[in-house]
Amino acid sequence: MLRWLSACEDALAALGAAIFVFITLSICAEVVLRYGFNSPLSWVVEVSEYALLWMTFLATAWVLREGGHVRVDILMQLLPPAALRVCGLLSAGSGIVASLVLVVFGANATWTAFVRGSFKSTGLDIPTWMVIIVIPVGGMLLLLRFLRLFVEYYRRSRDFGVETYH
Amino acid sequence: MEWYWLLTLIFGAFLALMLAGLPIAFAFMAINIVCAWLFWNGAAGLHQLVLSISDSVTHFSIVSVPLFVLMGEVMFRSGIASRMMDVLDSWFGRLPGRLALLSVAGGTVFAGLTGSGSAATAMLGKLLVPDMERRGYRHAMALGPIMASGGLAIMIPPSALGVLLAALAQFSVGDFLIAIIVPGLMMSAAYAIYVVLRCTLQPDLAPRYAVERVALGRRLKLTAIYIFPLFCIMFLVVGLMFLGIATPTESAALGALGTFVLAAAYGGLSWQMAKASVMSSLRITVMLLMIITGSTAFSQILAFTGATSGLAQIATSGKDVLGPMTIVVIMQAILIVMGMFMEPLSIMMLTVPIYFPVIKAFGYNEIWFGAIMLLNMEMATISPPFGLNLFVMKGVAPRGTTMGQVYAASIPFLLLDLVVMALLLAFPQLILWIPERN
Repeated sequence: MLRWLSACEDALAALGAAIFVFITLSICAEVVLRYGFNSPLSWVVEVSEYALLWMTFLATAWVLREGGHVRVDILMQLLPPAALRVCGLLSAGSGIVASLVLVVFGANATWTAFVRGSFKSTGLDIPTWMVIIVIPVGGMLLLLRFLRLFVEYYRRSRDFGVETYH
Repeated sequence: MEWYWLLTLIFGAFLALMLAGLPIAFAFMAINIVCAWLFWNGAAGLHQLVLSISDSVTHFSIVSVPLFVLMGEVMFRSGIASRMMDVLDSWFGRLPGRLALLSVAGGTVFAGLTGSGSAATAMLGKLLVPDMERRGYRHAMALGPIMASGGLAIMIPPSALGVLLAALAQFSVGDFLIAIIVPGLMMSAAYAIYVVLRCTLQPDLAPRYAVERVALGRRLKLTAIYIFPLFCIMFLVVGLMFLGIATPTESAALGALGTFVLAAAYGGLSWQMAKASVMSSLRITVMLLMIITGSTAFSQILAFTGATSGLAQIATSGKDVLGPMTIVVIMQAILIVMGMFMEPLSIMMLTVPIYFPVIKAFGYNEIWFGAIMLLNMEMATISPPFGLNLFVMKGVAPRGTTMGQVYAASIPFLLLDLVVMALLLAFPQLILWIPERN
C-alpha cells in the first residue's frame, strides 16, 4: 500500500517536472519566434500560468514526503517525546483536514465547472475544469500522505524532531 | 467581535500550528479553511476558497520563479560556480581578509545568476570554509561574510523572493527587479569595506598568507573562458528585461536555457545533472508556491475581518502625530522583529495585505518600500535565533562550531544591513532612479 503511494507520488512529480521542462522550452521558443519570425505563439503565456498550478499540485505530496515543505522544527527539539507526539498528531491532523477540503471541495468545484461548461475567459477558452481538476487529484495524495504521517506519530514509529528544515 | 481580537486569534492560531511543526503552507491553508467556513457562509465559502487557490498562483510573472531557481541549480551542480570561484581567486592579491572578500565577490556574482539565498550560502560555505579553516580564519571573518554574501541572492536580480513580493503586492516585477540592483550592490560594497577595515584593524581575525601568482595572460584567458560567459547570461536576464525586449519571465527562461548551454559547453552537462537540477528546482518551487496558494484568500480574510482597514486607520492617525516617515520606520522595525522568528515568505504573506494599502495611502512609492522590505527579508534569513541561513551555515561550518558562534558572526553584517536600510530610507532616489529613468 505504502509502496503504491510512493510510486504514485513519484509518477505525478515526474509529470510535474515534465510540464516544467515543457514550459521552459516553449517560453524560449515563443521569444525566438516572436523576434526571429514575427509569429508569436499566442498560447504560451496562458498555458504556462495553468502549468504553474499543475506543477504545484502534482508534486506537492512528493515534496511533503521528502520533507521539502518549509516548517519550523527548532522549538520541537526542546520538547519531551510525549509533547512531540501531541505536536505531531496535531499537525498531521490539521494536514488531514486541509487536504480533505482540497479533495471534497476541489472535486465539487471541478464537477460544477464541468457541468456548467464554464471557460477561462482569457483567450484560449480552456475549460475551467481542466485547470482545477489537479487540485483534488494532488489533494488526494496529500491526504494519504498526511494519514500515513498521523499513523506513524500515533504508533510512535517516527522520530519527530530530527529533520532540519529546508 | 472587534477586528483586533479576530486578528490576534488568526495570528495566534497560525503561530500555534507553525510551532506544532505543520509546514507553513498547510498552516495558512488550515487558517483559511476555518475562516472561510466561519466568515463566508460554510460550504459556499470553502468552494470559494478552492477557486482562490488557482487565482493565487496562475500569474505569468510567477512563472519566472522556477526558472530563476533552475538557473542557480544548473550553475551549482554543473561545476560552473566552483570554477568561477577559482578564477576570481586568481585575481585577488594579498589583501586583508582575502577569503572573506572573495566570498563577497563570489556571492555578488552568484546573486546575479541565481534566485535562491540558501543555495548560494551552502555553495559558498562548501567552497570557502575548508580553505578559511586551513588559513586560520576566525569565525567572525569566515561564517559572517559567507552568510551575508549568500543572502545577496535575494537582493540582486534574479530573485525568486523579489518576484513573489512584487506578485503579492501587485506591482511590476520588471521594475522591481531593476530597482533592487543598486541596494544589492550597496550591500555588497558595505560588506567589502567592513571586511577590509576590520581585518586591517585586527589582522589576527584573518591571517594574511602568500598567494600563488598566476601569470596575467593565463588569468585573462581563464576569465574570458569562465567568467565572461556568465556576464553574458546576466545580461541576457537583466538586460533584456531592462531594455523591455522580454518580460522578466521570458528573460528567465532564456537565462535558464543559457545556463544549460553553458554547462554543455564546459562538459558539465549530463542526464544525471539535468535531472537533479530540474527535480530540485521543482521541489523548491512547489514549496514556495504551495504557500502562495493561500495568499489571495488570506488577504481577503484579513480585509473581511476589518483588520486591514483598522490597522490602516491606526497608521494614518499615527502619521498625523509622528509623521509618515516614523510610521514607515516602525513598519520596518516590526518586520525585523518578525524576521527573528519567521521565514521571509510567511512574513510577506502576513504583512503585505496590511502594509501596502497604507504605503499607497501615504503617497509613497511602493517599489521603494518593497525594496527596503526585501532587504529586511534578506536580514530575516540571517537573524538569530531562527534565520534559515544560519542553519544552512551551521551545516557547512567546521565541525564543533556552535550555534552561538554562528549567531555572533551574523550580528555585524545585520548591522551593516541596517546602515544600508537607513540610507535607502533617507534617499529614495537610490532605489528609484533606474526604474524612473526607464
